[in-house]
Amino acid sequence: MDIRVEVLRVLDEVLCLDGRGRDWGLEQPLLGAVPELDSMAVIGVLNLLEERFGFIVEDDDVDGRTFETVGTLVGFIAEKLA
Amino acid sequence: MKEEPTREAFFLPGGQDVRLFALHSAPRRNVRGALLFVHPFAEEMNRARRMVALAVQRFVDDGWAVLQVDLAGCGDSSGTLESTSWEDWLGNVDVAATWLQERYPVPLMLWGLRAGCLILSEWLGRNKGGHPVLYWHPVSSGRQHMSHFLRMKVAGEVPEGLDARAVLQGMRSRLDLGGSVEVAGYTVSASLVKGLEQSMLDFPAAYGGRVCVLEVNSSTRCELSPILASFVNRWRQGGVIVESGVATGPAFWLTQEVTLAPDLIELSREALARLVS
Repeated sequence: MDIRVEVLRVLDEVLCLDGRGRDWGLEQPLLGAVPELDSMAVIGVLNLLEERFGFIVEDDDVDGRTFETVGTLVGFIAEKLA
Repeated sequence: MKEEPTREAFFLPGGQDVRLFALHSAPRRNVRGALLFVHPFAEEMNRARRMVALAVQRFVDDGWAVLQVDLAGCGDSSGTLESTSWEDWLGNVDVAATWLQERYPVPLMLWGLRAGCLILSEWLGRNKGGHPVLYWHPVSSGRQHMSHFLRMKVAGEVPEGLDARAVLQGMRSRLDLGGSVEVAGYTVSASLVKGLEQSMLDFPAAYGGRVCVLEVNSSTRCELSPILASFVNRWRQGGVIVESGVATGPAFWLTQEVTLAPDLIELSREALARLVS
């Protein structure tokens, strides 16, 4: 399973990117760089990632750095699934 | 001339002065099977209403009888989510299943959407029946579903400056003490939250029915989510006959405006016949 591909699908779905993020690499900045990603959208992305991968994020697990780039988000999920 | 299908709305007894709103739709003759529909939790139930109504129409055209029941405290049933327990809901499913089984000498089939699948899963576990199952975009973990429900409070209602974590912790401690919580206009009893939290999507040992699980996705990819794919694998290894699929369409149980996923209905129509063959 390619976590990055799944992450990009979830971002595309929640943020309605219409395929704009399909080829984003791990270094692609997210928070502050993608205007669609506001605080409500962060929760939406988190919820859908949890649903699709089947992990549960505790309330104090996430901070701003998790959503810094595609890479930090992928790393966060890999850690959850380990 | 084609006969108009039966369509009747009535109340079933839900225990302790609770009346459960039930909607029965069926062809006039030659009923192939009887489907019991269990709806999602809270707002997802309302958002999915149109889509479910459309699916019911198509299923009835194909020869299936359908009973939709609003669980206690939901939709047009009486009671409140604050006064309803998890056991009440399982009892409600019992009442509805019995009604269908007494009415139709054909297989009872279970059809759930989102958290409705969790409720049916728990009910199946207790009743050990081999009823065929159609799951629409099932919630895989009740704990996760409730965590998302509580998170809505933080997303929508916590004023600037208030600590979101403290708000969540406050709700958790109230639930631990058996109190209810209010989120997005829904005041829910601790029993319901705890019951849902502990429910898992699974099948009892020696389950003999057939299963069809369908997910919905807005993009035209055709893979199950990683978690559901792993569930399906596990069930198959346990001897359950499972088919799965992905329909293209919007997450109609979430969208603010009414949306539909006709592809999901079409996939389901094909699957239903296989479930009882």
